[in-house]
Amino acid sequence: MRLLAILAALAFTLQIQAQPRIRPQTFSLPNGLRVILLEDHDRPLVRARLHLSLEREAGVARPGLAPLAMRVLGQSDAGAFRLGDFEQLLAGAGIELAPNLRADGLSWSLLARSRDQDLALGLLADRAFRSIIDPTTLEAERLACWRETERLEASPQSKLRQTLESDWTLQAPTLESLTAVTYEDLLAFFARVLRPDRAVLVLQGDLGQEQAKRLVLLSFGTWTVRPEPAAPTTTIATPAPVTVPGPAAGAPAEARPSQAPATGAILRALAVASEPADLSPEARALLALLLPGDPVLFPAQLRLEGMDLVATLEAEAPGTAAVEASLRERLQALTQRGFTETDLRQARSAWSAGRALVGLHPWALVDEAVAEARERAVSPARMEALTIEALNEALRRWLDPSRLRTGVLADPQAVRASARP
Amino acid sequence: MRILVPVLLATLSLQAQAPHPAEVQERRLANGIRLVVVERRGLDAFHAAMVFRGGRAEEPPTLAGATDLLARALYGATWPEDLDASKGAGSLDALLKQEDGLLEALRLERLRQRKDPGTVGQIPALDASLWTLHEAVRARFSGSPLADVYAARGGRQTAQASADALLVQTELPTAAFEFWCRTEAQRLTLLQLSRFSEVRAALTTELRTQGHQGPALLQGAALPGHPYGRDLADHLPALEAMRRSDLQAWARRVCRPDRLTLVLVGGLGMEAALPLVERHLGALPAGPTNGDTEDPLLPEIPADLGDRRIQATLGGTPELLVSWRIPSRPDRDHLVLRLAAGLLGGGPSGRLSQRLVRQKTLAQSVEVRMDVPGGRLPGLLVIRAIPAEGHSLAELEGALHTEILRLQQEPIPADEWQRALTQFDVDQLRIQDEPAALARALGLAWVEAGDWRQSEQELQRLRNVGPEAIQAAARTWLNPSHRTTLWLQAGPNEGQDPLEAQTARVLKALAATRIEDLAQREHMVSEALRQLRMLSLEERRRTLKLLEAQLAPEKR
Repeated sequence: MRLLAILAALAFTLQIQAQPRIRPQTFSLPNGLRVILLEDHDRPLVRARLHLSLEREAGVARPGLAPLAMRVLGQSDAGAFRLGDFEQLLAGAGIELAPNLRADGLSWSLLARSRDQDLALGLLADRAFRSIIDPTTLEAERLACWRETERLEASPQSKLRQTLESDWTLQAPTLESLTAVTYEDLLAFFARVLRPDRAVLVLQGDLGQEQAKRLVLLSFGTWTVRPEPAAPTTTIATPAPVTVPGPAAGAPAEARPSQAPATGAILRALAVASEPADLSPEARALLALLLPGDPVLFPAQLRLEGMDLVATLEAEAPGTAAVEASLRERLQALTQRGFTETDLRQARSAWSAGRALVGLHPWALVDEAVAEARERAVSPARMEALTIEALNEALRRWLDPSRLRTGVLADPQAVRASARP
Repeated sequence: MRILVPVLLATLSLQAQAPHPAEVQERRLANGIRLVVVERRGLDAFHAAMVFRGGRAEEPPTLAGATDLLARALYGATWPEDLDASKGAGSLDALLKQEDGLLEALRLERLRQRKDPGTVGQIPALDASLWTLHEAVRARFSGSPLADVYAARGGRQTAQASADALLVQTELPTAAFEFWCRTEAQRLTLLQLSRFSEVRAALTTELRTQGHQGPALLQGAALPGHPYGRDLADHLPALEAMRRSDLQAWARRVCRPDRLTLVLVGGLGMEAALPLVERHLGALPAGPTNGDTEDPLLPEIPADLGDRRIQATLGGTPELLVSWRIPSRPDRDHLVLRLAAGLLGGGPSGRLSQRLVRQKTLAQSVEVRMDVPGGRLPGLLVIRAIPAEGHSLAELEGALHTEILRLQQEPIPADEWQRALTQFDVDQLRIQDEPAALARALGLAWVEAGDWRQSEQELQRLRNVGPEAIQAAARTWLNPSHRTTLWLQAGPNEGQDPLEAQTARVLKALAATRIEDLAQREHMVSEALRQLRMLSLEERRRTLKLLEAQLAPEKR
């Protein structure tokens, strides 16, 4: 009997341990806004992330438009508040509100004491859909955006990285593409993107479900889909990056090599591969574990930056073309070799063990909930079913030579030397 | 009285609590390791911060850069071959010793050839031997992906070198706790540093590429002769001369148990953690019992050294950097100066952003930083501002000093005081909520103030402080005698202005006639250039003429 009681207690304890610490609760508003609540009363803090997906629609996908739009929003009056008052309100309550732009969408992250949650969510709603867009702000921010793109103090490496970006949301704008953005373009962009039916709001921390429902309804209940203004007449072709000499003859448009000036005798080749749109989250998670530090790449290094794979190789090669070719060869050697069943098993086991770490980072819990809502979360069942063939196919697609954008940082003299026949 | 009431209410409204002594448990192991545990029930993972007191400030000039190398070669990644104790002929350790010898021979040969370019050197032969040896070394490295033993268990590790400490942060599932204890004990016992040569080459290239940076120039001028003022870019020859055996010897000295504090935050209590930590890390030999265990004595710099100014051209956009020497973290005024920094900086609603960026449109951006480069010893409060187009550095500097004067002389409005307190409160709450931030904060409090309870003491002190304390501290510390100003002028993106380039050339030529050792010569030239940057343009021109006069006419 005693043994039974002990076993029952043990089973109960294990059951409790197996349960996730925080259970997500979900609800939606009539306007289509999906809300996920991660209730945790350990400390009097509330975090929120409002995520809006960016669709690759015609007229929207223009370099510079998304970053310029985010800048304009950040410098606009919001709701009943002038910009200065809005910022004073945030600071007065110690509320942190940070915008973020990624290839897969734009978002605002918010952190506040739980006693200031009403104010905080109200201000987030003001910023997201009650911002008052003024044409003069557009002009001021257009200039600021251009200055930031052309900033002198930026390292050659970061300039080259920006040049090689393939996603339109993060691509360095040209003066032409920035100048072409009109007030109407901006309004059209906001009308397409800032919609409750495309948004996910994740709340984490010290607030209960009833309170969350009340607050969200109060702050976001009046958010509606805005009518789109007449389609803008301007159309801009995706331009070549400005700081880069013309593409090498015969190179595919998406894979043109570029060279940026830099000082020092060491050459540094950079290759950027953006994530294929249909890559499964499971394959992505495993490749993110397997690729960095793979010895076949030595001395090149590969890391994941946002949604891009970025490879670098430093060498004292005879010319820029040789370093670039060497980096491409290493990446091809990797895709040709692929991974083995053992690698897959190890990576699966590492991923599975690493899930426990999410609990250490409240923002990682929020990220996970956003991914879940966008159907981009890793599913343990699909992870188990992933085959080695599927993993290697994903690797080949991600590092497909025709999608790679490469460039070399070199002394201008080395560039001139390598350009000679 | 009307001002006093809101101020009192603001102070009482502080919600944050520093980690309560009952929540934090501390033990000292027999070999000197301090173990601090904060249990977070319900978590299946832990965050471990290993904090080695010391850091860049304690490096002797001949080992400048050693903490950075340890952060990259000893920590950051955990390769199986670094945990393998095999010794003797043909072992990885033996190959790495050979590599060490070859690299030194190659360095000396290169120096010889620079001195006498006509001689036929052994560089090609040495290069070939080194290449063969590197191949042999790499053949010993793990050849499979996911070789990092922590990554393979779902974990990660980062390491960071600072002026005060070497901080290593690891996250793993709770089930891997004993593995972590065993691995860290093995790492500190073996000190294999198998990637030393790669890491040193990468660090030197990085420093060479980035060249001198504004903040480093400012620190050098504000804290002359002090390790806090050292610019690693000035010590490249020493870094290149450092051998793996030198770094191992240094690691044995600084990564001793008595200089180590382990902070664990996560799903482990003291009763679960202590036996395993004792079994593995407790077995590390204690440091020497003689006076060698004491911290090295570092020079003290009077805060009121006098108003200092530097002008430099590093290319890029113009910048204004103004700093004041401030007390170390244990000082009573430090906390108040932190509030003052929050009031001046504090994002877009801070005083400087409001006045200089928004209202007067003199600056594009302004940021305020405390404890540069560290908080254990007296450091700097730094304001960095970029002038808006059409405005000069002089205009911006004048406006900045007006704001400092206002802070010193005008009473602080209750809403601003409330805002500074609220920000402090939110920061503390966030630290409590994020295990990584909490582990780091407790570890750094021990390094900077000698006690993890520092955060709690600061919160208690804050309850007895009013806005007038900010004015008093600003008057004491943010005055011209504590100040150093750096004007970074816009200029050609060449890394060095023509006057400085010419001065460097003349100094090198002069030094060549007097100093045999190339490393010493380069160090002397860097030091001289740093001192010269504090002179006005005219004075620098006159100095150059005087220096040129000492050179033979054909060498000018």
